[in-house]
Amino acid sequence: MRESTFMSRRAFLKEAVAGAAVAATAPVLFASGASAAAPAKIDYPAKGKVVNLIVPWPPGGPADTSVRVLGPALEKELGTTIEIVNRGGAGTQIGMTELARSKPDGYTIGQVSLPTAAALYLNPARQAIFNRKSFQPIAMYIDDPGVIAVRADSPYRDLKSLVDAAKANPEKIKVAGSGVLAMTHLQLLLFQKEAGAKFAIVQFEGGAPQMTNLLGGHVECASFVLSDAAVRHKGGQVRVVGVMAKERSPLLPDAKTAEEQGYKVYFGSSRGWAVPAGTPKEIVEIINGAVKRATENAEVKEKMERAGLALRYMPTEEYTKYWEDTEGTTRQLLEQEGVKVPKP
Amino acid sequence: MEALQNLLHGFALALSPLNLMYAFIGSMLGTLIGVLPGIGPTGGIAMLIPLTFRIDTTGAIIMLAAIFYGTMYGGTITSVLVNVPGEAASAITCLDGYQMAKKGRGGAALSIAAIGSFIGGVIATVGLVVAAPPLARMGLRFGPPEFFALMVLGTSLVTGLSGKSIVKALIMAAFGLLLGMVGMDPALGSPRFTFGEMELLGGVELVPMIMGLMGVSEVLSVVETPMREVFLKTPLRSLFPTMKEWKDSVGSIFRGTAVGFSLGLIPGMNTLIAAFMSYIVERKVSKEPDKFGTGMIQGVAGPETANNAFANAAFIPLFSLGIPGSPAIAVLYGAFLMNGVTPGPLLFKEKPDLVWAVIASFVIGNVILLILNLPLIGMWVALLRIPYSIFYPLILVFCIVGAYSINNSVFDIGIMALFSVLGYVFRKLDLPLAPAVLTFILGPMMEKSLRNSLEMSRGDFGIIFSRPLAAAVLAMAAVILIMFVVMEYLRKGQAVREEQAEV
Repeated sequence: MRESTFMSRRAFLKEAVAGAAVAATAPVLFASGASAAAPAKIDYPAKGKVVNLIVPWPPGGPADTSVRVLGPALEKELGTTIEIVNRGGAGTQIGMTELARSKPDGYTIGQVSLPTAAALYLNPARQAIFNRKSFQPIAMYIDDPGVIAVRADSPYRDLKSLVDAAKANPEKIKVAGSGVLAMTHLQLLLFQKEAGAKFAIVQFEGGAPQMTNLLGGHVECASFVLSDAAVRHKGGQVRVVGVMAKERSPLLPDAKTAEEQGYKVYFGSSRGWAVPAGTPKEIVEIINGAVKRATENAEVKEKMERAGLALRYMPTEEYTKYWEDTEGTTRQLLEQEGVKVPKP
Repeated sequence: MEALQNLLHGFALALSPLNLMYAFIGSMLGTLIGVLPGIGPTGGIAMLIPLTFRIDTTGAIIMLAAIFYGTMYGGTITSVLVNVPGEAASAITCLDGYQMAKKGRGGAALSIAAIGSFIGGVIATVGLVVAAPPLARMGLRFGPPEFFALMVLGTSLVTGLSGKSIVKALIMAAFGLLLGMVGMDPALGSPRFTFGEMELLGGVELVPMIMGLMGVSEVLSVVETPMREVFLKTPLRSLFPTMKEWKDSVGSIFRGTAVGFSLGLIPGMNTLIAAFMSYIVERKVSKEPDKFGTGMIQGVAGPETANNAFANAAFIPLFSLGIPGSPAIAVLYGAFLMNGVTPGPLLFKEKPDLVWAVIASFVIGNVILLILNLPLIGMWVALLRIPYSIFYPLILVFCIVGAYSINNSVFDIGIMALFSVLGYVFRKLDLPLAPAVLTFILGPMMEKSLRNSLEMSRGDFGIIFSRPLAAAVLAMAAVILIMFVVMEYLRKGQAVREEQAEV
């Protein structure tokens, strides 16, 4: 008992000192707070400090490529050195986990792929330690709508012919997907519901085997992200028969949207930037501005177009809403597929 | 012939000083990436892509391609000299290459590997020139059922990797299969055998596993015996292969070319499979199969040629159809796109200059690599003069850094450490390591292609037998298996008769 009094006296002293310190600095804080009515000049990024961009994909894929194209311009706009850190694995879970655990000081920015990330944290089997609230969205820079494509010489020339064939032969028309619960799968589920038809979904691992099998004639059609199909559509090897977006893509102006053909399906993949939740608003604004200007850079636009990547800038507020909406749709689709998504 | 004219024109372009320089830089970088354990062509190329933004398109393509097939040359060096695979595809070279080095024939092994790689690469390039489009279309015919049949064929050949005991090989094959199950279930998309570890969702990472199982475990076992000084005293002349070694290798080189080339045409394959298959072929056609694993030159010549033939043949589907067959080629595809080159059937029509210059540079690149690597062999072998007490810890450092560099992941280092212990134990128990590596790769591929086949047929297994190409491959697998059993039986019978005759 004597010990505890001793400790508590020490603890009391500690608190007293701390309290005094706070009391002493409080006026200073209030003063600077008052002068922050005019925006305080935040020193971000600080001279010589490196900003890390976490890319939750291994090097070389389309997501990583988009960062390497944007990188130099972003570096110029931020005014400091950028280091691209690949933290691939587990379908972005590893990279997103690291982002969620980073300090919210703006020196660690992470690339977010939606709906991939949402499908991930909504799925209890993945045991993700993060969710939407763990992050502060900054901006989108790539909007990649989903498409359905056939081989150029295919007898199916539009979505209707595919749907008719599927209705006549349920689960016989083969469509290539790029992974279970990936965007291409979720988009197919939406489309099947809207069209009232069932296809035979053959899940490959990623866009390359999808394309190979489509070109080889082993499947009748494939569900892609636009960027996976754009280059070959322009090259005449495949034909994109439906784009799941509100408007036609500037990359493929001759590809009809699903809506034009009577199917109201809007889904796609996006890439954007986020920081850990709790990052100061001013820093978020600075990064947001840098991303905006980087996406307007002429060289960036040219390289992105060549690679078939649909550049699209969406600012913080809109992106935050987009994330929320995408999460909602993804939640519905997951539940439809039997995933026990925990209540929000 | 028009193709020949175009090729000659391509040579003229490729031999320009600037393009020669790019080919040289690419070959050097590629060799370096191959030598350094861990980072392989995929990661290496991805990171070097921005280098090419500042130079002209043709030069960029030449350089990137050179990096790719250059890594096949580099990986051999550490496999032969230190028994540590610098690159997944060189893992099988460790088996006989290192034994040769122990006998003082390391230089010869490296020379034969370099020359075999050159021959394989050039022949594959000739194939590209002569028959790219039809060859590529052939490769496209391999859909999931055909792929499954190939995997069955490959897996059934695993006994070709067994040492003295087929049972032990099968045990390790089963172990490899089990290991391959870790990760995501391909049909359900849910974790399997990951024990809650997020890092295992992608499965056990191949390169750290191989580095640990075959490489670091070697370091561990070397450490327990007194330092051997055997191959420090190798005189320089024995860096070159003897006449006998040449004669023995010729067949292997051509067989390796055939194996590597055909597999390179099939999208979805990788260099490791080509190398392993070549090794198995060599063992099966050899008159002294039991000597494999003790330093047979065929066990080096075949696989090394195969992986280079594969690397060059992999460009065929890429150029003629725009199909990237493996992750490394997919990275190249992206790099090409960013430099304004769209691989595909239109490429030959739209940019013939570029295409033929690049193809010519493949030949030139292989020549450069040969010239680069042969004299350097002396240097590499001389590295072995470093006292082992410094040398092996250095190797360990490279392996650890290499393992980390693949995914910037400390977890991968842990995987490597775990498998080095396992590999050490397996060595003590005389369990062969190669079968586990083979089934670790083939198992998941087999499962995925079976799943995809069943998704295509909605559950009907008959799809594998009803498609002509798949059925043909399966029939081939059956025939080969029966042949092996018969041959083995006949040979055992022969041995017994000889014994009885002596008595």
